[in-house]
Amino acid sequence: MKFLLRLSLCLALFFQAGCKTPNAGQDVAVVRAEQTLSIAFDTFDAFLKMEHQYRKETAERMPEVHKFAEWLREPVDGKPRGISIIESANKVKTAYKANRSPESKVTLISALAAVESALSETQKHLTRIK
Amino acid sequence: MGIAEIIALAPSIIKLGSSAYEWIANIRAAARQQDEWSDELEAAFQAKLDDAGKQAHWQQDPK
Repeated sequence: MKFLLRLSLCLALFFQAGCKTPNAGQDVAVVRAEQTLSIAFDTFDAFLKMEHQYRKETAERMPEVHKFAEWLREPVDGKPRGISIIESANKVKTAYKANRSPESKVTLISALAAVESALSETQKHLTRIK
Repeated sequence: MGIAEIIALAPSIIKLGSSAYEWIANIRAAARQQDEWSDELEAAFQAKLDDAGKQAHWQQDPK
């Protein structure tokens, strides 16, 4: 099972790294932001599904993994934190699309950094679920 | 691990494999993206987030 998860993670990272170049006329910052949001959501969701499936065992044998899963689930503004982080970055992206200034691009990059940090932590914990 | 244990674990392994397969398929689709989301795709993504928030695996342990 551990092998299956590691293989899945490697394949996912391979495909993540192999992102296609945005079409001409498309804003690279927006396309990359949407890719990041999409990948982050799917990774959070897959991690929480797997952790939920072995919730009791994970809490007993890998408390730090369970603790992180609970952190992602913790309600923030009425929604689980993982979803809230993504929604908030998506709102920044929408604001950037309405006003593509260098300042709003910097704000978008900062919002994405929070998503990428949670994504990287999730990937780390995902490999530990056996 | 005996045969009986492996058989008992089979549904979990299938479920886990299915989750991993779905995850990879979604990530592949995201990696192929070359255009900004249309309004429909944006709405579909938001609907996916709204729906996920109601799923059991997104809920915290009861305190």
